[in-house]
Amino acid sequence: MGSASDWHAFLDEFRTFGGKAENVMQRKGAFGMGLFPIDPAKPVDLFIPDELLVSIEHIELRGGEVVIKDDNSFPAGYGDWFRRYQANYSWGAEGRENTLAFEEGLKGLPDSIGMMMKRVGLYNSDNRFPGTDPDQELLNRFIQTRCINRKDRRVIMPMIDLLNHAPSAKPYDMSGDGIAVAGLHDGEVLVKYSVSDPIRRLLGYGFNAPETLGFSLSFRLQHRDRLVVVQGGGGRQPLQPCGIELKDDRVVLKQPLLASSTSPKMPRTLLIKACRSLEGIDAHELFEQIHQRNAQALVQMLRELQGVEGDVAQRLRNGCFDQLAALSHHIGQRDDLLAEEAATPAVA
Amino acid sequence: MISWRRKQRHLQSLDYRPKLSMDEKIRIARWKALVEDFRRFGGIAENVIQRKGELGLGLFPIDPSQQIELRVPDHLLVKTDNLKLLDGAVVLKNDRSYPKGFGEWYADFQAHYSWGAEARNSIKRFEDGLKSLSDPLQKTLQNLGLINIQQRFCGINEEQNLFQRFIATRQINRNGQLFLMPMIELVNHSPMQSSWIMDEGSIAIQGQYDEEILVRYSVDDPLRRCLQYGFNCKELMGFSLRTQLIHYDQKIIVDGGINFEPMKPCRSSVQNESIIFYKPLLSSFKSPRIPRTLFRKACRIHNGINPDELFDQIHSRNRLLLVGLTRKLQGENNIIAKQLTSACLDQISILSEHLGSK
Repeated sequence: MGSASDWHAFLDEFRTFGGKAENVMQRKGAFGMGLFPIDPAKPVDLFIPDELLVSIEHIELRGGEVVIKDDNSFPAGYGDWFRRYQANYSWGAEGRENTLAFEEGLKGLPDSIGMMMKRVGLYNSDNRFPGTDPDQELLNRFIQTRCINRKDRRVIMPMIDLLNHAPSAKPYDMSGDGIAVAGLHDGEVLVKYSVSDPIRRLLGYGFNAPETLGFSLSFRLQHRDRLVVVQGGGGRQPLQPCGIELKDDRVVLKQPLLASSTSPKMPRTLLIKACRSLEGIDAHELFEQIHQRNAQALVQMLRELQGVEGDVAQRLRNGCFDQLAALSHHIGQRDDLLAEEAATPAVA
Repeated sequence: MISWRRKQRHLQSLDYRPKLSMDEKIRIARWKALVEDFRRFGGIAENVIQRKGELGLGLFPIDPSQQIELRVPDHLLVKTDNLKLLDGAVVLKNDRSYPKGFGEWYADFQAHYSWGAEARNSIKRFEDGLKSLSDPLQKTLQNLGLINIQQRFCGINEEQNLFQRFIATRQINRNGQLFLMPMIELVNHSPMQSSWIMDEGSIAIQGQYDEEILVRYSVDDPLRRCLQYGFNCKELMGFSLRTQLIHYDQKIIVDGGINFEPMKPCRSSVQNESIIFYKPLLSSFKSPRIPRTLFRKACRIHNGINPDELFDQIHSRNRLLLVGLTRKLQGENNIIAKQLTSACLDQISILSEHLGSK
């Protein structure tokens, strides 16, 4: 990381390519390096036009630096600017080291914890960081924590990817011809990266955050005389009923939402709706069975983590606690929504 | 009356075990003498011996293929207010109402098999651990209605405090009076077992046990069992912590604790415009549909309550309080904090055991 004048010169270059970065500077904060308003009384304005977004498949490591493979489709000089951006403010500043420390920390956890996380679909070190090409694997992990879906592409958003995440912050503004974050900020400029829950935010990004939603872990359970396969994870449309289908006599439930602190009546409502298409399911009981299994798996993980030292073990403990707390936010159901749908005549 | 053959087997198993050390032989001989005297007073103790097990000192069958029987007749039960500490020993204040020699026997029993064997020291270890918890943590435990550590140990006389805790963890209520049960108090607890047999005229444990003889002391949940008795146990029920919440503009107070009639709807009352629910059962491993069912019944007398939502709210609040408590315990460098952490995790786990309703 260079001086303040380097930073401003760097922003000037960014503006020449069509980007905006007004009233912001990079410095250390509570979440590590982040962007802060220079004058909190004035709005910040960050914008990257679609033309400057870099598809992840166009990114590679060259001599330890993160560069664009072929920068012909970008404005002249942008490839070099991107290389310096990564070296001085992102990958080279903290990104590589943090990613490496987290991945090594995860691999260093006792086998029993690794097995447990694998079993519930949270983490599989064999796929994620096998160690056969550590530099490339690290870059892949780094990219995963910074990329976003934009117009059917997975892209990196220079400058905007320096922002840290807060579950209560607004998401990126993707309504225009690029991606923007703007407005007044008293302290650090924060953005909501995506829909997730605490344990997956941790394992996906390496940091703890008290996310407001809770999704299920993966497992199978016996519900009455049916085998139910619960596919864990967070859907992109959490307030829609989760997918449900019958496969070889097994009921497959895809990424059910289990809790929401802002809409605590929705999780049960959505599961009831999802289960309407299948007979022989008591949605209320199934909802509670899924909760039960989640609680027990998380408690088991916390037991295994007792006495395990190290920063990543502590983060994982916090992630489990945050997840248990997040999963508590489900209260009753929305009878109005359930009645509404039940009253809607089926389309012929 | 036991048969001659059974008695021979009993003596053989005691006397002819291979490779017994001198200490072990003395220990067994003392135990035999204790049991014989106990029988002489009218008690029954068949096919049992005290030794160390997974739960500390406990009673085991001498011959697991045979039934065991422990029985304390009412006339050998010891009123808790007839006990005192004398020079560090637990003795009867007055032994006139007991068979001749019982007072001496009881003092020996306490000194070598109960209070003096392990109980005092394990109580002291646990209580010292509780006292060394940080002030904020002690305050949290108090606010949740779990334990008032300052009140529990007034600190005037440590030995008396330990003695009172000893009594509190072993006493039973029989016809409105509190008693200790000689011999039977040596049996450890398991929530999976049945409770003591309370006959007319005696208290007993009978049956066949492959391993340690265990009995269910009482209805409890993991966190309260730990705080009251000093050991961790995966109890099969979960009760609420003390908490307050707002339910559709209505102030609700949940008075946490153990409901000793757990399969009945909890009591409730209205005070100062608040509805108070007393000790609601929140979960049950064996009857997971019962807690919500009972809570619905308890709510019938109140208007403006959505019982299912309130039940979920109480669960949610309990989870959050327990997560908060467990987090606080992480910061304590204390063996008891680890034990309490384990109890909190057991509590979170058991509270998840509720499914639908009946």
